[in-house]
Amino acid sequence: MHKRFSWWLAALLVAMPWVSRAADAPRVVALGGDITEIVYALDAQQALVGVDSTSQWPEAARQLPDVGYVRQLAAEGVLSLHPQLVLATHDAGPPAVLDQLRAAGVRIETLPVARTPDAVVAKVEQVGNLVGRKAAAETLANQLRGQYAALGRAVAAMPRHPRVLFLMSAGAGSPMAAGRDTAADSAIMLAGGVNAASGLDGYKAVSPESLAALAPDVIMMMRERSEAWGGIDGALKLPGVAMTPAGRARRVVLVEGQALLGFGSRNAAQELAVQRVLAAIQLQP
Amino acid sequence: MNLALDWRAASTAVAGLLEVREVHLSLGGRRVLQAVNLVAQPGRLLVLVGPNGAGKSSLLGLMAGLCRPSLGSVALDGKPLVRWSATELARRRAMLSQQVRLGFAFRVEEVVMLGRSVHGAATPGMADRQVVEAALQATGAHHLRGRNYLELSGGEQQRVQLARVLAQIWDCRDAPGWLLLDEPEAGLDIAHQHQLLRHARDWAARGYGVVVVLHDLNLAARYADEVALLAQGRLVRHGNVAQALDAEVLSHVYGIRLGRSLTADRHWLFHAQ
Amino acid sequence: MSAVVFAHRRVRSGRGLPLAGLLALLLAMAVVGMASGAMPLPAGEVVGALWRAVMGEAAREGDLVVLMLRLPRVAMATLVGAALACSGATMQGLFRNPLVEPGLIGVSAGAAVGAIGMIVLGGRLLAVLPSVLGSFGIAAAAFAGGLLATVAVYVIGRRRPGVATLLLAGVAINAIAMAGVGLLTFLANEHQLRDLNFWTLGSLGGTDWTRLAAVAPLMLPPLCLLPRYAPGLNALLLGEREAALLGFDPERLRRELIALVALATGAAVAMCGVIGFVGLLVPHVLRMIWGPDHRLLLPASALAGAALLIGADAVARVAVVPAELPIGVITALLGGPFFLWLLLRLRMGEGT
Repeated sequence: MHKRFSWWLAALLVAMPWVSRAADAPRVVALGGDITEIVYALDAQQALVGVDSTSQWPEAARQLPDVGYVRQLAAEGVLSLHPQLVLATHDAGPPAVLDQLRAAGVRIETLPVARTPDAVVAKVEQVGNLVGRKAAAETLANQLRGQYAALGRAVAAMPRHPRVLFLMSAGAGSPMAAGRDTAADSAIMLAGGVNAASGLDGYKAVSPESLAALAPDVIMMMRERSEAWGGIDGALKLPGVAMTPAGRARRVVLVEGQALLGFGSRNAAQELAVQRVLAAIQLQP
Repeated sequence: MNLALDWRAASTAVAGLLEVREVHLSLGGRRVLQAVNLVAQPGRLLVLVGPNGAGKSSLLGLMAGLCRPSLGSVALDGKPLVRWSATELARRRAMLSQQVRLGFAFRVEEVVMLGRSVHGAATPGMADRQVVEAALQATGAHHLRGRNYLELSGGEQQRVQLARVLAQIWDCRDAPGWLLLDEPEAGLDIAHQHQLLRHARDWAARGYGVVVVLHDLNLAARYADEVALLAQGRLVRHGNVAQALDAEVLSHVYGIRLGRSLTADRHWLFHAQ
Repeated sequence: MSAVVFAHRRVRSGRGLPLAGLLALLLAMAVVGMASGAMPLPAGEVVGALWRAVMGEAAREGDLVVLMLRLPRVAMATLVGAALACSGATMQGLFRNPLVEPGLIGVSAGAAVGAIGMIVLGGRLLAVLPSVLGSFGIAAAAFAGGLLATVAVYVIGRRRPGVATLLLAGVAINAIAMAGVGLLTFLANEHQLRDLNFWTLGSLGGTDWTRLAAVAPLMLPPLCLLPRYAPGLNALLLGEREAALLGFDPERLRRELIALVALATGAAVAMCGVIGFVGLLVPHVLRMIWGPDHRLLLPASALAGAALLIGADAVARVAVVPAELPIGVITALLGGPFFLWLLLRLRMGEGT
C-alpha cells in the first residue's frame, strides 16, 4: 500500500505546479542554528523560506516561519512552505516525517556533525554548493581557515592551559556540566583550555561537592542562558563555586553559546575571543 | 404446563430440591459452618434464624452457589451446584444480598432490567420489558420506574432490588425457581416488612422455593412454613414453627430468657422475659 | 455523587439515535480534520482528492497532502481516540468509579518507562537499526512496558477479591513507574530530554500508512470486542457478588477486560505518546447525558473519543503553523478545566 502510493505520488509530483513554479529561486528550509547562520553568511538568505526553533541568529531569521523543534518536525508544516531543499542538521527528525518529506519530492540534505575546524570549513563549502553560492563559500572558507590557523598558533603559544568548566544550565536542581563528547568539550580544547569535566560522559548534573572537586580555573556559561541564574554574580553564588579556583578569583566567562557551540560560520571568531580570555588568565603557580 | 403447580406434580424424588449435605465451611481458619444438613423444598417458605454470627448468611451464600463448601455439597435437582454452569444456575435461582451498592445512576427500570441480563440477548426484548413491568408491580415499586435509583430511600432501593431479583427468575418454566433473600426486611418500615414477606409467601405458593434469612423471630413465626435455627455454625433445629422455635432452645441459643405465647389469630409471639 | 446532580437532565431514548448522531459527528470531524492543516486546502479540494483517488483519476496539486499525510493521520486519530475513550469507559465501569482513567492499570506509565528507557538508554541499539525501524523501536519498547506494568498490577491485584487491591496495586505500580521515568530523566542528555518531553506530551506527528498498518491490528480487535462486554459491565456495577449471582464470572470478566484495555491503550500510547484526559472526559460526559448503560456507553465513547481526538489533532496542526503543538497539550487544555468543573460539581452534588 505504502510502496505503491509512494511510487505513484513520486510520479505525480513531477507535474506539481508549485515545484516548477519555484524553479527560478530555490526555496530552502534550514534546520539548525549553524546552518541558518552559514546561509546568512553566504548571503543566500533570500532563498530561505523557513527555519527551525534553534535558528535565533541573525535577528532576521527570527522573522521567518518557524517549523518548530528540529526533532519533532511536522510534515505538512514543512510542506506548506513549498521547499525544494531542506538543509538539516544530523539529528533532524522524526525519521517518519523525513521519509514523508522525501516521498513528497523534497530534497533533504543532512549535514554531518562538525566539531573541528576542517569539518566547519567543509560544512560551509557543502552549504555553499547546495544553495548555489560556491564562490561566496570559497571566500568564507578561506577566511575561516585563516582564523583557525591564527587560533592554532595562539594556542600553541599559551604557557599554561587553564581548566575550564562549561555549565550548560542551572534550573532548580544542580547545574549541568559539559563532559566528554560534547560540543562544549571540543570548543574548550580548540580555544586552548582543558575541560575540567572530561571525566564525565556527556552533559551531567554536578553536585556542589563534585563542582569543588573538579577545581576549574574558569567557569564558562552561555550568555543566552546566564540571565536565568542571575548572570555572573548568580553563578558565583552557586553552591560549591566559591570553593573552586574560578570562584575564588571570580573568573566566570560568558560566551555566545550558539555561535561557539553551533560550530557554524561564527565559531572561529568566538574561539579566538575565548582563547584571548583564557590566555589572559594569570594562573597561580 | 406453564402453571407453577405442575412442577410439583411432575417432580421426581430430588427434582426441584435444594439440598445441603454434610456441609462444613471454614473461612480463614475460622469454622463458619459444621455438619449442616438441610433440605429445602419448592413451594415452601423456609426461614433461617439464629443469633449474630450463627452462619445464616454463609449458609444462604452456599445455597446460592456463591462459594463452595469446604466439605460436603449443595445440590439442586440432585446435581451439585459446582457442576451447574453459572448461566444455568442464574436462570434458576436469584439472591437478594444484604447490601447492594450501585456505582452509577441507573434508572429504576434499568436496575430491574439487569436481572434479565442472563436471559440471552444483549438488547432486551419485549418479553423482558414485560417481566420488568410485572416485577415492579409485584414489589409495589412501579411508580418509581423512571426515577434515579441513587435518589431513592433505603426502603425504596430495597424494593427495587427485590424486583430485580424477581425479574431474574420470573419465568422459570421447566423447573421450580429459587428465591434466596438475605435479611430483606432490613431498612423497611413495618408495613413494608409484612408486605415483603407476604410476597415471599405468595411466591412459595406459586411453586417457587423461597429461603429467607430473618432476624425477627415474630416475622419468622408469622410467615414461615419451615424454620431452621442455627447457632455457632450448627443446625440446631429444623421443622415447623412450633417445633423449631422452642422457647427453651431459643433461650439457650440466644443467651437470654425468651418466652412465647399464642396470639388470638394463632401466631406465635416471642418476647424477652 | 455527581451523577445524581445531572440525573434529571438525562435524555431517555433508545441507542440508535445517539449512536447515529455521534457517527454523524465523527464523519463531520473527519472532514474538518481532512480540511485542516498547514497547507491551505478548501474542503472541496479534499473531497475531490479522495474522489480522484477512489476513481483512479489523475491527481492534482495538494492531493498528496490529503492522501499521504492527512488521511492516515485522521484514521490514526480515530483509532487512538476510540481506543482511549472506550478503554476509559470500561475502566470506570470495572472500578465503579467515574474518575478512573485507562492508565490506572499501569499501562500508560509502563509505556512511558519503556519509551523513555529506549530514548535514553537505547541510543546504541537505535543507531544500529535503520532510522525508520528506530522509531518503531521506541513504540515497541513502550508497548512492551505498558503490557508488563499491567500484568504486574493484575498479578498483585488478584491476590485479594474485589477491585480495591487492584486499584491500590495500580497506584503503586504507577508510582514506581514514575520513579523510573524520573531516574531516566536524570540520566538523559539535552537532546534526549527534549525527545522524552515531547513523547510525554503525545503527538500524532509522523503518522503514515506504515505506522497505521502496524498499530491497527492491535487496536481494532479490542475496539470490536469491548462493546460485547456491556452486559457483564452493567452487572458489575451492582458489585462482583451480584454479578456472580447474575451468572457472570467477575474474575474472568476483570481479566479479559483488563487485557483488552491494556492492548488498546498500550498500542495507542506506544504509537502516539501519552494523550491525557480523553479516556476520562468522554465516558464521563456521555454518562451524564445518556446514563451508565454500557450497551450505549461503550460504542458511544468510541465514536465521541474518535471525533474529539480528530478535532484536537486538527487544532494541533493549525495552531502554530508551520510547526505543530503536541496533542497532549490540547487535550489537557480542554480536560484540565473540565476536570476542575467536574470536581466542583461533585462537591456540590455531595452536599445536596
